[in-house]
Amino acid sequence: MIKIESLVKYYNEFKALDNISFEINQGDIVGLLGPNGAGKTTTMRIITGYLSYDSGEVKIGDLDPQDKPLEVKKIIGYLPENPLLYDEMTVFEFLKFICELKNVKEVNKEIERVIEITKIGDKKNQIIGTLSKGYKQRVGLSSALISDPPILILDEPTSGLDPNQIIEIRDVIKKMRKSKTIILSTHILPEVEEVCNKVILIDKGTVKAIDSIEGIKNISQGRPSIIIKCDDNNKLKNVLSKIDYITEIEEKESEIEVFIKNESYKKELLETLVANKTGVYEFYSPKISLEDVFHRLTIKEGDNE
Amino acid sequence: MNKIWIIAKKELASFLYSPIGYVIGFITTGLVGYFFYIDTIYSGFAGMHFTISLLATLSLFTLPLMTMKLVSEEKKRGTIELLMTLPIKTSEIIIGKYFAVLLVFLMILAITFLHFLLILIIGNPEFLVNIGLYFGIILEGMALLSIGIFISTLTDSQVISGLVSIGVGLLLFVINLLSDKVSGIWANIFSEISFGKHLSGFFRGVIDLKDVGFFILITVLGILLSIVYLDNEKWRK
Repeated sequence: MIKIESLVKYYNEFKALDNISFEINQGDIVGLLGPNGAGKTTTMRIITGYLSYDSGEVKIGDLDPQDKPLEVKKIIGYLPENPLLYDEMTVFEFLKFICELKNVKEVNKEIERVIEITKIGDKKNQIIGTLSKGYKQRVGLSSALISDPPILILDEPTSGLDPNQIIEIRDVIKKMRKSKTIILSTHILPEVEEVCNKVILIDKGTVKAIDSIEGIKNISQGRPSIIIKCDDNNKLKNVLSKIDYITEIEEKESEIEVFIKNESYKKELLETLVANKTGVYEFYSPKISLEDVFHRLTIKEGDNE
Repeated sequence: MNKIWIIAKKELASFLYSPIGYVIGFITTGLVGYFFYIDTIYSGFAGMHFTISLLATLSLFTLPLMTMKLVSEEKKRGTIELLMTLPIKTSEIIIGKYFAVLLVFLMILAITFLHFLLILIIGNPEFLVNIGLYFGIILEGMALLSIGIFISTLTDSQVISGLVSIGVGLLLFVINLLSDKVSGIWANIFSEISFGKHLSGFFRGVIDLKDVGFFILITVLGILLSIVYLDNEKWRK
């Protein structure tokens, strides 16, 4: 659906995007992850056709936004980082304006449809300038949804919102799963874990990792391990030392981390421990959070410099 | 054409909701009424010459006030990104905005036209000469608005856009004065690009195609440059 190949973008001398390549399939919800200034917004602006690029290839479907800007703009709904709205208009007037520019035939029906999704029906006739940040964000999202474009580009859709609003916006995005291809940028990691099925991690204009969420966690996880807590550590160690698929045992304060050859031995290990009456009361794989991955992948690069 | 009208409608609405259109309309019609009284009613001259020449000078200041926000405000607020990511051509954005200010200008002119109708009723003016005068001021306005919209695409500051447009307009209006001071090709150039010179024919009752062509050329050039500049900004950002 979206294919980016060796994309390079300069701002004067500054290389904002350095050889970025990725591919996004139809129905994917992709989290574009990266610290501030990584090149997320630039990438999105290039996809929407707002910015041009210096070299590489961008294909939306089979269209290049540089050659066929109008066709590309027709199939993309874009929510910029700070929703860009005409403050003096009412919500309805603004959405009507967007409908007209997007060639929507039944304007009223379409406005009703999108404000139903974003739940701003009660603010329909309010002047946009008087709305709170959360509502403005939702007006922006509504305008992106108008004409039901198959691709949505959402630049930090939840930034500046309160926790309830964040949940609401996320729910809206989740509802569109399957029916749309969505790219959303964020540096809020739980958001990615919750909504996205794929992560593209970029930093300093380069792609650091592209994978599913599980895959990206595995990248930095390395060897599979299990953390065990039990009543009698000595007895446990004794039992463990006789198992051949265990590669290493690491004793920590109140728990023991056991490294195994691969994930499939987990069940067998637990059964062995129970059969030997080691008094196991906790047995789990350590969760690696995206925060860790993000931190590791983006900091490592900085250390090298 | 349809999208041009959608943009124009939006701009017209913003003129309706903001005081600037009313203030310009009020000042223009007020001053025109004042001069009309002094020149036409009081001294009994059956023509719009003095009134229109006032309008020609006044436009140098009022029209930049109308065009100064057209693009620069969108840039300042960032809404230009919204427009540029919607399925609409840059040319449609610029032409739509241009039509909106042209329409406001024509509406204000239409109000002053009432004075001419009054002369028609009570006096015996040279009809075609006066119509020619209106034709001339419309052409001058079209060119000034076009220069104004171009300057507005260059900056995100309304104040700078307005001031520079006023400056450029004033300079172009009187640049023919320089042609006496220099010689050769520059004398010709300064004389040929002067608004004042091209407008003077209309006051003598002569409509020269060269003058008409000049104002149309400036208009088209300003609009084209605005489109090209805005379109190419995506390369520079």
